[in-house]
Amino acid sequence: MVLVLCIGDLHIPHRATDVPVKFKTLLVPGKIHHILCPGNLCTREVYDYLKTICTDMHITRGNFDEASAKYPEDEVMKIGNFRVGLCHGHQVTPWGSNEALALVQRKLDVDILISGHTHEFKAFKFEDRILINPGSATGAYSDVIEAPKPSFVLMDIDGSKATVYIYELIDDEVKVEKVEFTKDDL
Amino acid sequence: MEDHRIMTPQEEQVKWLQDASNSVKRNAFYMKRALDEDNLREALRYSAAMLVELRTSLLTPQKYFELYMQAFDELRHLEAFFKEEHSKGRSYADLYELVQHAGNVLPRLYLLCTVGSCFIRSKEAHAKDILKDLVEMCKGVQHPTRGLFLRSYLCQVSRGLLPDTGSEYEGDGGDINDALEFLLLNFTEMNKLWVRMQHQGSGKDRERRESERQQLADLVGKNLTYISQLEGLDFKRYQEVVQGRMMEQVVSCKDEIAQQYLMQCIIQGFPDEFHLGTLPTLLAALPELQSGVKVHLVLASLLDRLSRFAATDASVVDQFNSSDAFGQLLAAVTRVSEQHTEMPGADIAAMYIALANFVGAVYPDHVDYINRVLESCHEALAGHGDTKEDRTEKQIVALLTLPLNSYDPVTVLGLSTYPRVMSLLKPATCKAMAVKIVQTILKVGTEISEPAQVEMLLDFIAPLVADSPTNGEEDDDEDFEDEQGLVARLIHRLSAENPAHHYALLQTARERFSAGGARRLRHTLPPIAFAALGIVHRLAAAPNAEACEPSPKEVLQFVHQCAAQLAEAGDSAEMALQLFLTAAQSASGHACLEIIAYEFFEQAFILFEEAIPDSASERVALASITGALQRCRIFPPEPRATLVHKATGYSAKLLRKADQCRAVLACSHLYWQDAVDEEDVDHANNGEGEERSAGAEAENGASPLAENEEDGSGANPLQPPVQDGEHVMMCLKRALKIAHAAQQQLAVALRSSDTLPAWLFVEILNHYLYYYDQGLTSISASVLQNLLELVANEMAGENCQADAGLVAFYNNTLAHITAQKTKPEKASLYDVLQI
Amino acid sequence: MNQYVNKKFSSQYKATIGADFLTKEVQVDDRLVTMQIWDTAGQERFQSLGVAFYRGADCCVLVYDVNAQKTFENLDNWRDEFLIQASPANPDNFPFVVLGNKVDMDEGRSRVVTEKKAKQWCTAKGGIPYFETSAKEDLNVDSAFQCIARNALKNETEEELYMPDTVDMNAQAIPKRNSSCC
Repeated sequence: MVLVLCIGDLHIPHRATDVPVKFKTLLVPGKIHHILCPGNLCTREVYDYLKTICTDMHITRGNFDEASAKYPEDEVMKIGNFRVGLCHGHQVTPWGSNEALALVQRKLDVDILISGHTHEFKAFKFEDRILINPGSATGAYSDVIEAPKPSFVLMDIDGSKATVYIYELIDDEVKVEKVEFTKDDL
Repeated sequence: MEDHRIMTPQEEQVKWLQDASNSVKRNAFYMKRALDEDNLREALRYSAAMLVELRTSLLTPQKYFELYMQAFDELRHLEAFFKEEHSKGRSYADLYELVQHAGNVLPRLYLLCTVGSCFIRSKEAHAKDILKDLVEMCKGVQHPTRGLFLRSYLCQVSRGLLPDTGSEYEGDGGDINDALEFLLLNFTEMNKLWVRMQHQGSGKDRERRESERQQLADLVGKNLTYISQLEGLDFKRYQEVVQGRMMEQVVSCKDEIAQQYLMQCIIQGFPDEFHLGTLPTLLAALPELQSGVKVHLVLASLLDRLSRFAATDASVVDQFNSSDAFGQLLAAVTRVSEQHTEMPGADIAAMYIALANFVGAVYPDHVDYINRVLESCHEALAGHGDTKEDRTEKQIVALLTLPLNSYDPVTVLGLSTYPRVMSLLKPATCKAMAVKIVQTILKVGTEISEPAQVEMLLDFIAPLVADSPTNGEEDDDEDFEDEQGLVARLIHRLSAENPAHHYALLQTARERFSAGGARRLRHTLPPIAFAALGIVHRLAAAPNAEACEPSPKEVLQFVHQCAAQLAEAGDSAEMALQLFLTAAQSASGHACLEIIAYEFFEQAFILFEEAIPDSASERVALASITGALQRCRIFPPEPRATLVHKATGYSAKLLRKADQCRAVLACSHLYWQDAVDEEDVDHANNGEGEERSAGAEAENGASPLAENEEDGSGANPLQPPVQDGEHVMMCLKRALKIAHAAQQQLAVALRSSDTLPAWLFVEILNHYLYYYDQGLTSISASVLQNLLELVANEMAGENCQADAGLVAFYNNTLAHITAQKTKPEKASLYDVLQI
Repeated sequence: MNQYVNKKFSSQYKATIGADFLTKEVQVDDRLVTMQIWDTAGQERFQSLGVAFYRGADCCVLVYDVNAQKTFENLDNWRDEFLIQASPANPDNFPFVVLGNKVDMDEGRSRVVTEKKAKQWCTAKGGIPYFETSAKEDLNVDSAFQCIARNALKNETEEELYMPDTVDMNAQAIPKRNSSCC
């Protein structure tokens, strides 16, 4: 059983002050095994904060991350029996298009693609693969959608089973949704 | 075991205790044997021999306590025997007489106390008489440690035997006054012994002696617990008798250790109601204490108790108010600092911290009290010598930080005394304090909603906002980044319900930040610009957007200025470019202002051309431009064509062929926007500018006459989605051409085995499939079939087969086609394809 | 403790300075024994002489407040500290008794430690007897102390070098620690 935190597009300090307190109290050190962050942190301070939750971090470069951070454009890793890809998504035109993201999945040869950029969370099966967008953990101003709500995603990967929890902050209350996937269905 | 090495003091202690303890055990054994044999005389002889061990001067108090406990337990056997003797007819008066034959004073008094307690319990004597006798007789032992333990034994065995109110020993045995008198006298005597210890022996032993005194403290303090537990001790008696006697002893002993400890005992040992009722007396003692006493600690525990007390019951606060508890406390603190001019500045500040803590907990509505605390503190410290010492400064910072957490920080900063206390700090500390202020506001989540508040706040954090003679370029880079990060985050706390007010706050902030130089603007401008974009969004959503003051256009121009300033700040071209793109989408999507949106794209292109440092950043920037432009539906065909043309032009000019190819593929999407349903279009066009007016080109500013068509701040209509298959095909073909060129380039470089071109071909194939799926008629099944064969040929190469990633990509693509074939709605499209 | 020995209870907070000490005669089956009950100071600053009275104890009573999680969590520390300081001959079988006090408070609404949780802890520590008490309402106090006396008697040991064969029960020390008012 592996716990994977997918969190991105925080845009601190450009668009938000901080990760919501109610999220911070959930994200305690010592529970998460990997952090996958599609990008747009945007500062070292945020990097340091994420590092306190879990030191195994995978980050790709968002369009607001500075070149000096040297994050790669995409990354692929194996977690449980899944191949997981990570990519910010600003370079996938049209932004947020499922078909365009599916193309990236084929290219990276991944079962699950974690992307960001739109600030609109999603987690669903598309063309036999899983697309996940954890949204913006701060609910930052978005080019793509109106008034995003803060959200992040937690994946519990157990061999060929992935349980995806979507945490969303609505009216200062944390709402959790659960979606389950198994590799055999893909 | 002969061990002749020199023992450490600890080893010595263990050995001495062991020796004494063995002797106690041995004598106790004989004592008990004598008891079994009913031989009282022998039993007393052995018990006295056992108790002689307590005459030792070798042991530290803690070790002595162990020995004492052992003897204490053994004496219980003797006590039981006395009771037995008594039941057989022997009078306690007789026994009380008998034990006095013991030769040594210490054993004699232990035995006397033991019999005395039985005597009282039997009620054959009046409790008050025996107690008085014993407490007087104990004066016979004047050695501090021995005397303290003996008297503590007296207290322990007389536990429950005092003629307390309601006790069975009350009446003939005396009353509460006798009980109190006994305990107060014992307390006074013990304190004298304890204090005297300080003045015995040589000066060089002082440290050890003081540590031993600390160990003995509880024996003295114990008396106060016993007093406090008396049933007959009501408030009146406490106020009239007990408090006075205790305080007199505390003050007059003139001993730092005793005063420090006993004040804590009194505060902790007696109930809250008593303290509140006698506050003036308690506080009056504070300035009388020796100058070495840590009055701030005493005060802190008192105030801590009182604030907990207030939390239990709302009526307590009324009591505080009716007795002006705050005024009394403030006066006491002021008096202490006046009296003890040699008191360290840090300790003075610590007293005010305790007071501020109390005020924060008890008076949530009295921020004016904080002002008075700060005022008094300023007076106390202004002329003080060590204000600039680190320790003092740390406390002042703590004092200034406290009320920020318990009250609205903006209100606290607005107090007249706040800047005065802050002025006591060194410039470097002021900066640290500024950081604290920002951190607190961020933590508490205060909203700053008035321009005057912004000004005030920025005054306080001035060391972070601009360079000063004392904090220049020598700053540590990382610290500087952190500080500016905090300031940047603070900008999101400037907020107001009314967009116009919010906008005013941002304008004020930007003006102030502009003085901070380029290296600060890099951090502070982006949040200001984003906050302004948020305002544009709110304004544009209003039913009559153009009539708003400010208009969306005006705010967008403000964003433009921010982004332009950022572009000039150096080292921030990418950020500025991204900001222009975000603003362009806001202008296009929210505000529907074509000219402005166009201008933003123009600026982004200029920056792309002039200022992007490396190819990786170029890719990010161009992808962002393409993605942003792809979404915009505000541009009529002609201006749109100009922008698209530029984007594709830059794509073809990228350094590496692979980047060119991918960028051109991305550009193909600029000719293909998603179809939108009609309702959406209607909604977007419900503004007043149904038709794009000629005057829109004019670059005049916002005007309140927004309905004027000539004005230019009117919203432009959205254009229908672009679906230009011909140009899409041109892009795709161009991508193929670039891929072929890459292949040739590699062949020339003798690197034909490189699989890059094949990757590009498969990627191009996927784009063809994308548009094929979207129903682009220019892509016929045969065109696609040809491409499939071309790619299949490429993939047949040995080099390609060896590239696992590429093979996977290709296979995934074929699998995708196969999967599409199985979908009924797609079958007609895909059936013809052969793979 | 005051409720048990003197049938008195005070809700006023008064810190105990040094260890407090009370005795109580108690009938266990056919024997009348005198219990010495020691109550440690709750505040460490009033424990200047150490805890020599732990030594030779026959039973240790741990009290926590069912309305304060922290006091429950501290039981472990208190137990360990006792075993270190008292160093009984057979630490695994040393008799402890746990009291969950202040069950009366707010009619149980402010309670944070459940009976189940407390019993689990007691079971994990080798089956420590557990009582829910209210010193204020004198609830279960007597039965708890009855159990304490019984367990203490079971533990009577003959550690003394010079101890004769017969044991006099009148001198058994039973320390009782208390972190709340009891």
